[in-house]
Amino acid sequence: MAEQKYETRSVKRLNTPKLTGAYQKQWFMGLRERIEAGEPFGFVGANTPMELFQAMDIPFVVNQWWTAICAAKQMGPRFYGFLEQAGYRSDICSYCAAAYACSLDPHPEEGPWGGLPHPTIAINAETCSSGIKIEELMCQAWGAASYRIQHYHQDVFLDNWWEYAPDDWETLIGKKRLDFYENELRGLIRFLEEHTGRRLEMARLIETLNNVNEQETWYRKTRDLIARTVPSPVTVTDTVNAVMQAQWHRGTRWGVDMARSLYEEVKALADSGTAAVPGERVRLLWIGRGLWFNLAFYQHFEQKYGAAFIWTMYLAMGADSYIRNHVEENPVRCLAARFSFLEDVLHVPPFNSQWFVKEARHNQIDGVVFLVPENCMNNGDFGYNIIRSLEDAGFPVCVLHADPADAKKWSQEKMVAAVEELIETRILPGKGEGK
Amino acid sequence: MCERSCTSASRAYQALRSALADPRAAGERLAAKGKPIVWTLGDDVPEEIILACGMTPVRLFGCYGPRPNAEKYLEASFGALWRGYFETVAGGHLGEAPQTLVLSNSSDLIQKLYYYFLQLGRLEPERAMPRLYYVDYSLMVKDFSAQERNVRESRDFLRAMEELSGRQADGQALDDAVALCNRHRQALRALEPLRRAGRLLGSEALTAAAGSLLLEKQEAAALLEQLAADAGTWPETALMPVLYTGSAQETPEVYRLMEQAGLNVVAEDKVPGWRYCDRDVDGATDAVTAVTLRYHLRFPSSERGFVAERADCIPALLDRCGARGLVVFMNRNDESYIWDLPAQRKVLSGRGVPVLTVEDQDWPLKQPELLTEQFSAFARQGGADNG
Ligand code: SF4
Ligand code: SF4
Repeated sequence: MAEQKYETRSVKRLNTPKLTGAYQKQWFMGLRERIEAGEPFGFVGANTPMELFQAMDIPFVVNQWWTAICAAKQMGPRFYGFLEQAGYRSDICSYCAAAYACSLDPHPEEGPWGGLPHPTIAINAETCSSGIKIEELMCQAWGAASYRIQHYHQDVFLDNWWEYAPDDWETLIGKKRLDFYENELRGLIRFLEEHTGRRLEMARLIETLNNVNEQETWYRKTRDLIARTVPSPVTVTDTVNAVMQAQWHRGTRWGVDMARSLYEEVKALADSGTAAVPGERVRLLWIGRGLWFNLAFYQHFEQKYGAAFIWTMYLAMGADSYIRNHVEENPVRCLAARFSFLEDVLHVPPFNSQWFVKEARHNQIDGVVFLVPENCMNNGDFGYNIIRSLEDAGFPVCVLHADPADAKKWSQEKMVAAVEELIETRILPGKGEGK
Repeated sequence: MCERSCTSASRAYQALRSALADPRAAGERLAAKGKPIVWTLGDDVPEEIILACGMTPVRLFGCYGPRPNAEKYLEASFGALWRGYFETVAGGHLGEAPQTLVLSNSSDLIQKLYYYFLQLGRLEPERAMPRLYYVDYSLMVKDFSAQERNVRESRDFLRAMEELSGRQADGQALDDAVALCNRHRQALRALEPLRRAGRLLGSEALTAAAGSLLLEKQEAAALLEQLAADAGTWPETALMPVLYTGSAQETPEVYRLMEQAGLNVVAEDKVPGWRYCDRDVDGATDAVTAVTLRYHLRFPSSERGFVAERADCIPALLDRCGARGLVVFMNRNDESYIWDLPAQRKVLSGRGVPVLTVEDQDWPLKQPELLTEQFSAFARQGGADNG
């Protein structure tokens, strides 16, 4: 393991992340037992309709969540070495290849929390050829059956997508694309029923989807509360884990409870006038995958500048892009309307740029830090358009080129300097303040 | 090795080469013939449908000159090939008149280019962007539902092209278009034995195949047929025959370097190149279904093929073309091959076939001398895997 010369663990201020973290670990520990007792076990991409697993009570792990755990435990460097030994390059696709790398480990039990058990089924949405190949290799290594959800492009481009998402999702996504994804989901349901021996109960699916809406509504309230409260009662290090962990269990009552608990904690802090960063002077927005191996980075600028990272996509996506009402009319179509659009919000222009600008305004942001994953060959969000849209709207942007999963390539000094430069030369002068 | 005098004396070769030398001029010549032209970007635009609607499909080539727009607008994840395409469109290299461009779902980055082009048009309305269409075939998954989806997609595309051209494509028009494209492909396949025998070098075959994509189908087929007749008398080379995979080559530069170093590309799983003519449209079903199946079920590309599938197909292609080695040449950030390769390497090394992997390439070529060294070493070693 590479030796870190800087603090990577963030200071925890809230109780909810502790609860979600502990639950997650406990849930994971119980997983092995369930699998040994013969239960199916799924491995899914973050952009798949995992609500179906929830409704069918099939335990599953999310690929990107597993990467985050490996990274947080500083295990990336160990795993990526296995790729190299097997003839792959270890410097590419780290965000999506951690689980495959684990499957090559001769001592998997030494992995996080006793290692990832072998999944029996895997679901991937076809958005990246390399990602599909990696999944194919994993399934081969595990002997898992896999279902690939075909992709269909978005050809309806409406401004302000978030205004349509909860209720008018038919208009937002378009009939042709929704028909397509609804059909794909029916194929997936058949696959899951066949491979797990379980049946998807209609009532259970409806209940799950309604739970998701309830959970995401709490995120919306939390996001709005942070957006309007200056100084902010919390920063992203308080919320990312709590949200990410509970999102993987979305659709359960536990997920709803954790989302409400997060809101209540943030609300209590806001009501008491507590500032996460006393003397908050600068509010920052983070675009990109989370820096899981170094969450402390987000706190690095608090003391020196009173600069608080208050926004990442993790909470804001919950707030704006998950809610899909009118579940009962056609739950499968409603679910299709959620998952088919999730990636577009982040990767397709102008959905991404319009949303970032709207969120920057809504959250009273002073500047933006944009992480561009340098080893993702599929990275193409039209970054130029994002930066130009934000800067034209008055939000200065600093770009960090880095690998969000592999600690050994992170240059703390360079990254700190880039953000400091943003604050010192572009944000503070604009607020009429020196450093 | 510079171009051989036997090749350059061939009129057919000259015509094909000059089309490739200036794609924009080739497009203008075609447009001047009176039929609207439709540029295609990606390997899976069903040209037959465009033809049947009375228009001329022309392959879009990357810009091999300064690429200021690509530098300004694209992330580093877009490798050299994609940057070239972007520059051709955003830099206005398609021509003065309003243009039409159809993109296909042949790689993730082409889909991104489609979104980028749309957004660039919105961001900078003063910039002349082509009218855009997108053919979204499912290419990886090949089950029945994917076939049905693709046929639906073809029917929608046919309607869109009919609307664009103002002309209905009846059954006869479709059959004629299929016959014409099949003839073009057959003419390209006729080059196979000549490449295998080393009478036609890889760089020459690539030039001819690529140039033919910038001509009308009749003319393309006739020139290729003439080229095959001409090449029948050309001398054979003693270069080591290799199969090429990796980033597509649109100009003969890299193949020439390989030839100078002792390697001859006898086939490639790429377009332009062998993969374009791998499969005809089979006339057993209705034309739209048959056209769709050709694109769906042909040789799997790395961008849209599974690891296991490619580990079967690559060795089979190697046998078919008589190659004695595999060269994998990857542009920087065009490296989905790295997830394919170990499986292919395993099969090939079991059969004693060496594999050369060249990574992190760019255009213009950064270190051609180093490449030449790598190619020479591979040619010398001939038998042993470079590992
Ligand atoms: S290219 Fe990017 S999205 Fe695709 S597998 Fe690699 S890291 Fe993941
Ligand atoms: S192959 Fe023979 S005829 Fe052709 S250029 Fe070389 S030496 Fe001349």
